[in-house]
Amino acid sequence: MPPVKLPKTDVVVIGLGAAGGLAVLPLARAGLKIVGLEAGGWFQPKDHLPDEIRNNVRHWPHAVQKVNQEIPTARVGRDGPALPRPAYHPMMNGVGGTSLHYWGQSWRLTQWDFKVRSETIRRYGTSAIPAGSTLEDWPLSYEDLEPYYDKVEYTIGVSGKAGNIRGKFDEAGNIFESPRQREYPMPPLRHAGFADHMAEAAKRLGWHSYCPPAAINSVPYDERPACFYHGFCGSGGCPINAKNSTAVTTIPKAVATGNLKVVPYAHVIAIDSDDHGKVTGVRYVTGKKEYFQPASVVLLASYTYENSRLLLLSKSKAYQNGLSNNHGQVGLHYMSHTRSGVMGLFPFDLNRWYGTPAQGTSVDNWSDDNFDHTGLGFVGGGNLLIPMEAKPIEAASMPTFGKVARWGSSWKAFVKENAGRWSPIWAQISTLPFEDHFLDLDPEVRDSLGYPVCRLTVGLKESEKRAILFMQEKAEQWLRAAGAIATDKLPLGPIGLSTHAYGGTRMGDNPETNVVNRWGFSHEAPNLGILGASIMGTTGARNPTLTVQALAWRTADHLVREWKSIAL
Amino acid sequence: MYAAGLAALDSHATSNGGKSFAASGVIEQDKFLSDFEHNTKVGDYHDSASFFELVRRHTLEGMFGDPSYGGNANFAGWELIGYPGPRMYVGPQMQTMEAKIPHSRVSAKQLVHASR
Repeated sequence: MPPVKLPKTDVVVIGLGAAGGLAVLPLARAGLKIVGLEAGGWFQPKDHLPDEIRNNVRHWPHAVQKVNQEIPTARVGRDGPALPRPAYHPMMNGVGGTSLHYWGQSWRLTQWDFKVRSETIRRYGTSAIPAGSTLEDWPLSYEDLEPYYDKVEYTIGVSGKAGNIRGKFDEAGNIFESPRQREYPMPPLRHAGFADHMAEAAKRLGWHSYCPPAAINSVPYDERPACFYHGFCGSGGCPINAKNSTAVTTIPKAVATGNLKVVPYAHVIAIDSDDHGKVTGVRYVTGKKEYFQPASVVLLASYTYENSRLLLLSKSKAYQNGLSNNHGQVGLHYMSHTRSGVMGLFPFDLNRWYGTPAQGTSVDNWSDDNFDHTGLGFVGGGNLLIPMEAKPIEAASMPTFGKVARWGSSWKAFVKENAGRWSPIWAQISTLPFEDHFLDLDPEVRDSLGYPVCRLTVGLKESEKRAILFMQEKAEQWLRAAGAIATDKLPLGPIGLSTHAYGGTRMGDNPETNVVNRWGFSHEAPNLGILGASIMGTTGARNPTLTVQALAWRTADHLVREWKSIAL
Repeated sequence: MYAAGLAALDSHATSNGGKSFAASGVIEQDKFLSDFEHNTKVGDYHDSASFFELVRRHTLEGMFGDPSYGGNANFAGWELIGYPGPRMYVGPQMQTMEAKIPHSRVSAKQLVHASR
């Protein structure tokens, strides 16, 4: 049966998460008519329970959603072994997407992140770029994006303390951040006792620590309350709307203009295109019925894996290898954070039970190019974070630091004494793109509708192993300086699915090596825009969401400004 | 997985100690479990470490998860490790390292029900 053809709209947005759910606001305010297709439904505050089994063990709601029918597969290399396929997709569907239950960490990248290639060559020479890397500078600078970071911070609400306002440094904030035009709209989240303890230890080491920025209200903001610090924030939505997901910030405002129509439970299966290479609209399934939504412009804003996958699945006469893939670039330059950690055991109670992960303390002395890399054999480094919020199953699942068996009466006595006395330090390590790390379609595994799922091909390069070991040493040093009596480093594992996945539709001026141009629009299909970390050419050493949102706003602004040339 | 794993555990106990796992002594039981944990000497059953990890994980979930699921009876698991229990609002004094926080003694469901 042919799909039901719906009336044409100006813009159709695929995915109303952190990126799509943000871009709809500037578009709606400009008077464009938008249809937002979202694979999940609306969630209410009452859906978000302080329940670790529900949120963190059984992974509600994504365990029962579209995403879980299309979990990507992963293998270590072209000829490498396949990794076990996880039981749950790391992201969720819903109006607001994964911004509903993320940690809310809302960092800006630094000036360096936008020109890693040229800065590395300038300071350390061409040989410092690892062999096989496809690294390019971004086609825009930090300064180009700064006004959009500012807009997003003030629109959704980000708490934090500035460390660099127009070149004026403030030790109370992050002195390694790039210059910002003004202070954050809200002060940082509460300083917990253990975060202060770690901050003092960092100071003794001569390091600079600060309270990281978060899209969580530290004070009432935009008619929503301040955080209650109840300790079920990680993979849990907020029961009081203090976490600034797009579901409670930009999407309702866009709906209020009358210009955004939200279509929940829309399972998008293809973006169609005409013989001239322009996209014509989107096909989706809902309630077992197929629809075609024609549009002047399509904005693809699903997660990194699904962005590449949907393009590869959308074949037409003009795009026989997948939409916007006539240069064979879709799926390439894939990266994810090689998140690594060190656990520390202390001889006193830390009281990390409550709070929210983003509420901890952070150190940037060892990230980006903030230190001399001569002879180290890697590029970049990592942000170190001590998070709050130790939920009980997680706390009791602690490492035993080689002191006791992992069960039995000695273990029981051990967790009785120590479940409240350990903490992780997480290191988010910047990663480069390589020619043999990519996304494509799995030749065998299919989703519930019979379409191939995404396949990751990604390994750990020697330069990245060196970066991880370097960061683990720094994390261990910090824990010991704070009084830790034992530490446990996470092993260097294979890289599987990630909540910080980048690339596949990279942004750059050269259409031979990039899918979208400097504004986020396809080099090949002029009325197709792509939003998300899939367009980012470097990872940075910190969570991607705020950058994704700033880029999404910039793409939306460009579309409004250039509507006639893009849409017509 | 449970049926096959438990049968393998009994078979391992019987062939090494002459009795079923449940009828074996405490020291022998610990040894059999340790064999399972380390995937050693468990006859034809090649997945013993995975089975052990599954049971361990479920035990942690039952003992330290929300009591509304039927485990963690009378908040015993939370009291064991000093977790003060879910509450909707956590004030600044409750986030100091010195804080002595009373146990809330409520499950997630009771807490949410009470706050509506």
